[in-house]
Order: sequence, then structure tokens, then C-alpha cells
Amino acid sequence: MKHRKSLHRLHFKPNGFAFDPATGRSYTFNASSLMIVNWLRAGCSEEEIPMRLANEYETSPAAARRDVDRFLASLREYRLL
Amino acid sequence: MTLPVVAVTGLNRGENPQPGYAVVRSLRRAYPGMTILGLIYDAMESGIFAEDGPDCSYTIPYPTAGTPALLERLDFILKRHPINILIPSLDAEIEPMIRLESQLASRGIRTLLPSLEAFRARAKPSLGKLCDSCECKTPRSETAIDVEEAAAAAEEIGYPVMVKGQFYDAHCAKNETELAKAFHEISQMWGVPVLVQECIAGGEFNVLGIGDGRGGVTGLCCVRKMILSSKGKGLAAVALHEPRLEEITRRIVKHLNWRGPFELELIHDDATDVFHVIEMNPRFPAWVDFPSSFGMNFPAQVVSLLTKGTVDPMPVVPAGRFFLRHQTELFGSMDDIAQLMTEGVWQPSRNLA
Repeated sequence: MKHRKSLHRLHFKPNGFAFDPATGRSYTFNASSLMIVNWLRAGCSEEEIPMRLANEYETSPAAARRDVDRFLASLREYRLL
Repeated sequence: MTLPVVAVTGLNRGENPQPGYAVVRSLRRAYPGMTILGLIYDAMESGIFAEDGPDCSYTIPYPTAGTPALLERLDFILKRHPINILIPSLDAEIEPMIRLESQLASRGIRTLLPSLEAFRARAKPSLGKLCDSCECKTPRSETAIDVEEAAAAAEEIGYPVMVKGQFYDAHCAKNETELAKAFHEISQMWGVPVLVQECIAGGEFNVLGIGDGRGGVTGLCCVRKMILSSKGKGLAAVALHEPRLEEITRRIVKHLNWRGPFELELIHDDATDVFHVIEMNPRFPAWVDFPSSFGMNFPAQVVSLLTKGTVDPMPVVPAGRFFLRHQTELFGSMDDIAQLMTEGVWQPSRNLA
């Protein structure tokens, strides 16, 4: 199992529920985290995400970066990234 | 084609559900017209009172009564019902059944069981050696015959530890007081030696399969436990496709040339991302009917292997399908219990109104 591929193998439902068919774990994502996951799955780099999120939610790049960093850390903690 | 008569043991579905009733349900899915006998140790084994339970049930002596007593009882039963296949479902029955294999065969009763050597090689005290041979991990374990030995083992392994019986039961002990309590409870019920095992934090996984006796498997169903009972039993589990689980299982089955049903229990060390084998049960698990409901019918495969020598390919349970254990009440009459306790046989009328 390659961890980098973990995010890509998740089966997502439109409501933010995701199931990992290799580990049997399930996750729920809120709207903003689901948006970030979709960007990552589409090939967006981790560096691009804070700016994209800041534009989407009309917030400061610094605040967006803090939130993104925290979220990416939790993805790593769950071995999804 | 004349269907074989199949006898099944382990029919209680109480607090600690036994596999036999799930085996019966699976056989009924594949062979609705099959005659199935229940071989029971106690008149209150709940599965015999289920609507789709065995067609007829007979009491048999406990394994501790010895094999002559069992054979004598089987000879009595065989005068009333032929038995072509026997599927033992309880841990404590497997070794006596292996020893009886030829005597059962001479009575026309076929079984799908491992060799005595393979059976012993997967026993809890031998698991470390087996895993070394198969290049897979298992938590560090020591056997103990008294509390002092158990405490010394726990001290060396480091708390918390799992304290396990040779057939069943496991308690987590965080200190010497809890260890002594667990040791006494387990040794009183299951005897010694008791196993003291390193505690690994992570998700629990099970793999169900049948070894063909030539080093292969007929199929594998992997699940992750989602809800655990106070005894660590899976009250819910979800099917998954994790190649590493299948690879470990295939290596062990090949090494043992395992013949017959098994359930491999593993724990995933979340810190190191490594699976550890914690047990290999020499029988079907209590959840064996879950894959059967998706056409992955392992009990039906036992029948096929013993009658035709081959099995048809099975579909795989889709990842994400889950089971949830659900308790309900069954109804009976004390007349049924009386008949079982006095005559040792009971045939449901399926009409208790």
C-alpha cells in the first residue's frame, strides 16, 4: 500500500462521506475540506491550495494557509497523503 | 444429484456466538433441500430453535469425555440418520476430530481438516515460529503456567499486555494486579498455559478462507472489525481489499499446506503500518454467512470439495459491504428441552403455535 495513493483510492459520495476499500476506514469531509481533497486528486500542488482557498472563501492568504496546513497534517496523520 | 447429509456443531448464538448456525444458513443458501443435523452439547444451544436451523439435532458428549464416547454416540445417531459430511465449528473439537478422521471415514463421514502437524504449528504458543517461517510479524508472546511466570513475561514485554487462553478469551492487563486477575479468570476457564502477548494499538482485521490441502486457498474474504464487544469480538465489520492481508494469508496457508476452513486474525500497527498476525483459528468464524450472502459461500465449498474434489470460482464480496450483529429472541417449548435432555434428540415441527 503506497500512502501517496491513499487519497486517490478513496471512494467519495457527494455528501462528503468517503470509504477506503483497502483499510476499511471511512471519513467525512466538510465542504471546504472536500474542495481541497478534490484539488489534490486533480493534481493541484500543496503550495497552490492556500491561494485557491483564499479566493474561494474571500479570506486572507495567511488564514487560508494556516487552515490548509492543519488539514494536510491531519490527512498525513491518517496516512491519506 | 443426491445431496449429502451434513452435520454441524457449535450452534449457540448467545453472548459469544458460535459459527455453526451461520454454517447452516450458508448451506441452506446453496442447497435449500439439504438435510442438516445439529450436533449439540447443550439443550439450550439457540441455533437449533431458529426457523432455518438444523432439521434435527442430537446431543453429543463434550470433547473432555473422550473420543470413544463420541464415536459411540455417533454410531447411535448413524442408525437413525446417515451423516456424509461433518463440519466441526469449535476450536476444542478440531484436534479430536483430526485424530478421529479415519474412524469417521470408515463410518462414511467425511471431514475437511488440517493435518495434526499443521494444526499444532498454528497454535498460539507456536505462532511466533510459524510467523518467522512465513516472514510475517506477530506480537511478542510468552507462555506462562502460573501468575509468577506471567508477571515475569509481562515485565519483560512491557505493560499493557494481552492475557489469552489457549482456546479462547483475552483480557488486556495494564499492571500486575490486572494481570493476576486476568490470569486466574482465564486459567480457571481454559486451563494453562496462558499466553502473555505484547499489546499493539491498531485496527483489527480478519481473513476467512479454506485451504485446499495443497498449499492453495479457494478464496479469501478480508474484513476490518468496526465495533468490538467487551470480549473483543467483532459486532460489525466491513469487507475490504487489502493485498497485504491476502499475501500474508497465502504465505501461511502455503507453508502449512492447510486443509479446511480457517480464520486469520491480524492487527494493524498504526505506528509502523505493519500487520501482525495474532491468531489462526482452525475453523469457520461466526460471521461466515456474511460472504455467503454475496455468493462467496465457503461452507458450500466444503461440501463441494468433499463430494467433487473441486470448487467453482466464487464472486468476491465488494469492498464497503458490512455486517452488523443483531440479537433477537427465539421461542420454544419446555417439551422440546425435555425431549433433548431425556432422549438426546429433537426434530423441530416448525409450528409452535
